[in-house]
Amino acid sequence: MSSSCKDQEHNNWSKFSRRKFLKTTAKAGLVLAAPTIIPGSALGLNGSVPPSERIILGGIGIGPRGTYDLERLLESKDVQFVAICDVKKVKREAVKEKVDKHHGNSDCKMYIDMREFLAERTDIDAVLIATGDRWHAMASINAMRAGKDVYSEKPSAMTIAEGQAVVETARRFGRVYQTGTQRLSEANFAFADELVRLGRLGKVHTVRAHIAPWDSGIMNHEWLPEEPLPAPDEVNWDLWLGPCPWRPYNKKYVDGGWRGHHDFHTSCIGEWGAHTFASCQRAIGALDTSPIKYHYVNNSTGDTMETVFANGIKMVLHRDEDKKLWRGSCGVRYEGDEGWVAMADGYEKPDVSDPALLADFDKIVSEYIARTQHPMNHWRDFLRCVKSRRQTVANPEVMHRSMSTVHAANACVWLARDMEYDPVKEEFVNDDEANRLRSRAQREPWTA
Amino acid sequence: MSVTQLKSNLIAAAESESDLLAVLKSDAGLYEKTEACRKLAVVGGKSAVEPLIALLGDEKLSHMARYGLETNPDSSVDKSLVEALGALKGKQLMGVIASLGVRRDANAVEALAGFLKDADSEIVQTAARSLGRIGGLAAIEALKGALEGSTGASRIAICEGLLRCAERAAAKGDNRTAKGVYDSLREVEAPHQVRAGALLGAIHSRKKNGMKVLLEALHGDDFAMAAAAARAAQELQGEDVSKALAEELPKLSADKQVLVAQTLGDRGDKAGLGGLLALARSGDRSARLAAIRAIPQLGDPAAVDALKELTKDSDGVISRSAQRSINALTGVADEDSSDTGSEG
Repeated sequence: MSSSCKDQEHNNWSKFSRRKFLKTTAKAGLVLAAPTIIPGSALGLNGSVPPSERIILGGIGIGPRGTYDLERLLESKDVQFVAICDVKKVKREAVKEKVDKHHGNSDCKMYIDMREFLAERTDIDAVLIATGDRWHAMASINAMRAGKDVYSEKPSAMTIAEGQAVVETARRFGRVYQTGTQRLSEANFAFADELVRLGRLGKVHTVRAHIAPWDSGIMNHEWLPEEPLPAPDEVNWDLWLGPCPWRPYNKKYVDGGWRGHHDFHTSCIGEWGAHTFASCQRAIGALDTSPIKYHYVNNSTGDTMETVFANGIKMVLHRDEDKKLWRGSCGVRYEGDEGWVAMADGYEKPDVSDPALLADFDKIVSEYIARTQHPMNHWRDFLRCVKSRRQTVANPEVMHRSMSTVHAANACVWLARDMEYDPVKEEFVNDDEANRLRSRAQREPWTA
Repeated sequence: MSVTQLKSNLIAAAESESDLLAVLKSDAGLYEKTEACRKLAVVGGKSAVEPLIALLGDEKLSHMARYGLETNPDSSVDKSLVEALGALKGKQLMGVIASLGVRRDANAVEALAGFLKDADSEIVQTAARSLGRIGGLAAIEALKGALEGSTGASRIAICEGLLRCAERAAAKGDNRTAKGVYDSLREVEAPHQVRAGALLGAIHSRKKNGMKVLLEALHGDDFAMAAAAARAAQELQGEDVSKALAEELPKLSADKQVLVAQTLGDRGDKAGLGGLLALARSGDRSARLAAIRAIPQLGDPAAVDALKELTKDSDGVISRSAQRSINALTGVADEDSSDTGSEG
């Protein structure tokens, strides 16, 4: 049956009310096994999940980080995970085992090729994508084309062009998308951002963003030595590479050693900048733009690079290896003419210039939640938005603009010169070489 | 140029174009030629076109040749890519079709249209999306012609091509063309995501007159379209939109009431308050909760008295939610902000 025919069938189903469905099945003597919540797809409603229905979830490329995401998503009672697609057998089987145990059945189906997975599973409403960075955007685009909503791990785009394509695809098909910058849904970070928005720090002039202190900004272009290809069922190397340039197989890549390689990674800047730039940009109301200036610093990491937004606020990048600014990972610090706040992972409460700033912590977080209706749970925010069709807290535009900052900062390091960027035209000013770094030809058949 | 130089980590224009071209023409290995193509993507000009075009049929280097060509600003790239189409097949052909789309070469429309009936579905899909990137009336006609009889993934891609054409037209201020494409897609048999996209476009391309289409979808039998209408309503400007949505609330099913209540909250203007308060007082529990939660988003203290009445509701979840909304409106901290459970 063609997908269009299937959809026509679903159209007919959607005219068949839920009550009528229940009545008919009861008359026929069918027993509706638990759970009693009927999945939206069973009612022909896929493409949108009514608030009273269950969300049917699938996954693409779920390793350690994806497993953490999956566990958070499965905490919600209205989620059922039904299929995993992964080019690595060991990961496919691990996810199936985990999910089957959780649901108490053996229903989780396994796929290797996302084309087959997406075409076949018209019952799936939303997809968790937690591949390596190289696949995040292309897998998201393919899933949204297939009518799925998407939760994608970060960094969610390898280039500015990929980010644009994610934004356009989500808008084109009316899809819900959340990037995995979960600190946007954590109380301490929300509080710090709100302090700025509410003017409690006076006029903010500088924000500081943590970048990963272990990786380099300069990417590796070398190939690891060729090793014999594993059986395609064990690791499908061609699918693992996806839209990236071909190179010979080496086990280290697929075991996590892809980081640091130009084709697969967005550098130390993207590794944590995906989180911290989004936080900084939310705090200063710059989620629909990017800095206009990037000042080159003569190092290979981008450490202390100063960027400037159109409103004059500076955002400075810090590795902070000696932990002077923060006591944890993914720190941010906002400095105004009346005070400052600093925040990182593991803090009980943010550091502040004056303890009085913390007096309204609970009130400020409560007001933020009430005002935005974004809960302090990133995964729940996504699931809520799947049902309500609202924009998530880390929606495509938020992802694209913060990742554009990452890409521009990377270009500044790679070309070793100051840059100016026009966030309206989304192009570098008078710099042809930098503009040619905004996109990369994707390897067929994986073209956006 | 030495291999050591080519392995330099910097992408910067450290090597000259002529050095890189010499690598391509030499008997250097696959790695060296791959890296030369990568660097030509940044520094290559007119003289790089012919050597890179010559690699398009090379199974191992075709992609990297496109990598070097796609960003090359020289106008001869487009003509050369179109000319190369006839000599290629399979993945290499697919790649060139994609690159012509990325470069938005309007002169390639006729050639690309010829692939819309190809036996290889992936070729059809790539051609359809490329035509959509290029846009224009000729691309629209070609895609419409290919839609009839298409199935499966090819059909979705052809629809995507048309949606892209409509976006291009709207971006250029040609709302009439955009509206025509969106309306035509609403009439065809297509998957939910295409119907949702077409509906969103049909509403937005009508500007102020889009509300009629939005309300029709909201009241229709297809929940996916009602949900898409709610998404569109979040993006439309003006208090009259909120007022119209609030007036529809009593006429909708509970699931749709939840959607519209959340939408009114996101819109945040006071025109939605009366409808939300009425819904909060009676009806389906989930819909009442959605209304109660949406009310603080409007930031209107006038809602506090009505919410106080709801704190006396016999349903504990309703009364607690009402208290939370009062807290949000009056600046009182809430005890629990984690919200990890299911709704309602």
